Amino acid sequence: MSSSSVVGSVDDLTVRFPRRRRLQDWRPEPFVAVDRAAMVLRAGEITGLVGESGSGKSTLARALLKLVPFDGRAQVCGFDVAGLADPAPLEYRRAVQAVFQDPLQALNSRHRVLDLVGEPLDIHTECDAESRVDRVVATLESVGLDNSFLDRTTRELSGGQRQRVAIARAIVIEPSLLILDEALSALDVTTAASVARLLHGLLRPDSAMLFIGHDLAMVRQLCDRVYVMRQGRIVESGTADQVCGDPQHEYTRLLVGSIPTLPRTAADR
Amino acid sequence: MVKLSWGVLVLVGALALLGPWITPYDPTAGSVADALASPGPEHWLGTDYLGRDTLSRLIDGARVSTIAGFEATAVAVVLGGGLGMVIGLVGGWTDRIVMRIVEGISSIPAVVLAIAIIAALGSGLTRSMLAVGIAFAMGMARLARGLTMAERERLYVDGARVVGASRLRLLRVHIAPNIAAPMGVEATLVFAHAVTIEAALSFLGLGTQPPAASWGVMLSSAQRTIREAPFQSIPPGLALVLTVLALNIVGDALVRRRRGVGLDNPTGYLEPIGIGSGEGKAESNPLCTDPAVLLQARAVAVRYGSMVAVDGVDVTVKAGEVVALVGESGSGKTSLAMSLAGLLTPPAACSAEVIRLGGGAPLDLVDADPGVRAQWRGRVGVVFQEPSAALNPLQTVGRQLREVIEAQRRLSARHRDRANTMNPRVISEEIVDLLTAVGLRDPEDVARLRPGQISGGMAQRVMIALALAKSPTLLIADEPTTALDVTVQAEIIELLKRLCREREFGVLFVTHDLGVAGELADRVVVMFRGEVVESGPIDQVVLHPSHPYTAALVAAVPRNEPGRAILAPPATAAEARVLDMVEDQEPVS
Repeated sequence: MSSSSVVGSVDDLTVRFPRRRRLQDWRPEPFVAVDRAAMVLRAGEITGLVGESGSGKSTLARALLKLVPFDGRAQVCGFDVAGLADPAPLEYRRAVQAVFQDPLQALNSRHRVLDLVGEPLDIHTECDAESRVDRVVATLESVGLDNSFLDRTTRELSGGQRQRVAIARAIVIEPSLLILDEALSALDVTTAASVARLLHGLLRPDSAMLFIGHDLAMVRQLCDRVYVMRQGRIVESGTADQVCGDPQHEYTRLLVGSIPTLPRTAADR
Repeated sequence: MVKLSWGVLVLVGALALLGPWITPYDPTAGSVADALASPGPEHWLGTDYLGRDTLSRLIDGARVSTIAGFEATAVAVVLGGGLGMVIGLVGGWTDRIVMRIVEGISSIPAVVLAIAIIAALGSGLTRSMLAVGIAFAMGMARLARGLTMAERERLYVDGARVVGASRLRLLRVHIAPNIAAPMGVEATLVFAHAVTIEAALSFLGLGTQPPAASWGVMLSSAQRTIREAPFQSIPPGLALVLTVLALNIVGDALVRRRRGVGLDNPTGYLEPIGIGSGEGKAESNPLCTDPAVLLQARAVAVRYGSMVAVDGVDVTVKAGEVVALVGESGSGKTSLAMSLAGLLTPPAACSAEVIRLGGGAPLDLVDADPGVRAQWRGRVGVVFQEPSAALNPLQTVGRQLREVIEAQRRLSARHRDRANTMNPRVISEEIVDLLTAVGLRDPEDVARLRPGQISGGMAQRVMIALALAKSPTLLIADEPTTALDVTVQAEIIELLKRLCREREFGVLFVTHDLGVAGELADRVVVMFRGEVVESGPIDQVVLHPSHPYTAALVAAVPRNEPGRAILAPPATAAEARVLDMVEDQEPVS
């Protein structure tokens, strides 16, 4: 059970970015964005990765998506990610999908919703035009959008609707790992809560999600397991209730202390 | 001017298409007996030295110029655009090597390069235009490479790569359509150059070959007889000048339209609008005269065309009080805040019964003249969401603060002691005081830095210092912590609380996050679809929300507690309905 339910495991993953050469520093030390990170992604779970801007959490996600080169070991869905060719093979692309923070930028604003959600089908499957439309409509329905959206472009949608389209595009080919890179951060509070509800409902027992965010309270409510990242290093990990309810590391305590709180009733306390 | 230029181009195009049917004579044949006739009823523009009708040759020349332009432009766009996009996407060594070659070729003037290529290929219209096209392909390649490299960094390209799009698909489906517009503008300029160069090459005998008519060939033949018939050089010369001028004007207009700048407003700056008193509503209640009331606004309405963004909203802020204005994007909260700051710009229209600033001499914003509006903006400090976008990236922090302080001094007529207050050293001390007040360590050092050299949290502190420099009666903060990290957000909230206590101004704090409002605010005003649905002390609103939207908002704030309250469906049907409305209602930007 234990090994079969692991969708991805990361060990000693390091991402270095070269710095600019200068006259006084001809061979600068590279900037280490992710420093020997280790992580396990289990099936049927949402794993949270929390950190502030510049902590390297998005870079770690981009490494798993084969968008930046890295050192170390990463096994995802049976693929040795470090050893994959560039561009990554289609089988890997099919297994790992992502949703980014700003759907207006992450989705080509010239394409209609039908083509945005249909593009992964064009690339990975050989379905005819009719079944393509059917599958797109079915996927849109599963993210709470009806078929009146098919012919719109992202500029004609609200922020929440755009993010739902981005999610539909990611899940239409049923990936085993879905990486959510700050997918709720640009949304209004109420919209973020409904999209969080949607994401939790989309989790299948044989697939995993990696939720990257900076809001520790949201991560606690949505995720099963949490990793806290700071300056490229993972400083604390554990179940969501452990990490957020009883933080051990000083930095995690600072993060927990910064969560804005609402007034409560005496009964809540 | 632009319309006239379009007219010239349409005319040239029409002549090129209809030429064979409308020329009065055969453009390539004439009798020597009619040679060098002056313009007259027989030959409107006279004849050349072989007796051919100049008007007919001019019309035929339009066809040659158009074909020449299209040929050269097509070669340049296909060859240069294709090459540039490929090396822009692939990058690395391929890019370096190809770019050095392209730069080498570009260093040769286009005409000289074209003549060299013609020497190898032989003369003739199509061949010479192929040569011109190759010469201009180099510039196109550089443009396409630059645009592709910029697009490659965009998130949607990463998104397409993650989905598994191949490089060819990236170029064809994603990048090419997005760089087509600037490439098209460049193409109009290539077209104009090609028309001139065609004329030059034909004049030299390398392009169009006689007896075929081309404006360049016509100029060449007119030059032979310039003493006998000086008029003959004018029609082809004028045609050439007008066509090229029109192409350049049109190309320029396209560039300008892409940048979103009109001729009437070359910088894109919009002057803030005034606020009218609306549809003559009678003042229902006398104004509150409590000196602690800093801001009183009644029945504020903001419209964008027919869309009502804010629909008759009342707001009051007292001294030392933080009022949070909470709502979704599209609820009208930012429009309301900007109208109270006197910073709404067209196409917005705003009316209100009363907007009055207390605390000292009262100011009225409704029906105010520009002088009063300037005074208003002098007494209301504003902090925006993106400090890095609101600060001038080219000026040091200290210089920007100095500017605000000096403007403030100039504005307040009460300062009789000008020499002293405008003293640079006094102002420098004030800058240090302000930066210290917003909690920046080493204020002297920070003052010397540019906004790009400081972190987002520091930049937001500088923004607050800029607002404080006006010694404001009221501070309006529009989502000042939304772009910041949570730990920095907590610090900025603390800072605002402290400043509000110390300086006793009022704060109107705009946010979508009730959690942030809960940390900071004394009172909350909840906006929903342009209206205030609920307002009151923060505890009362959060613990006993009366409107379903407020209840949904409270439920949506994630709490650091066990359990998964946020994943629970809306508690009531009314809440669910409101949530659906919110997601449909959000603005389309």
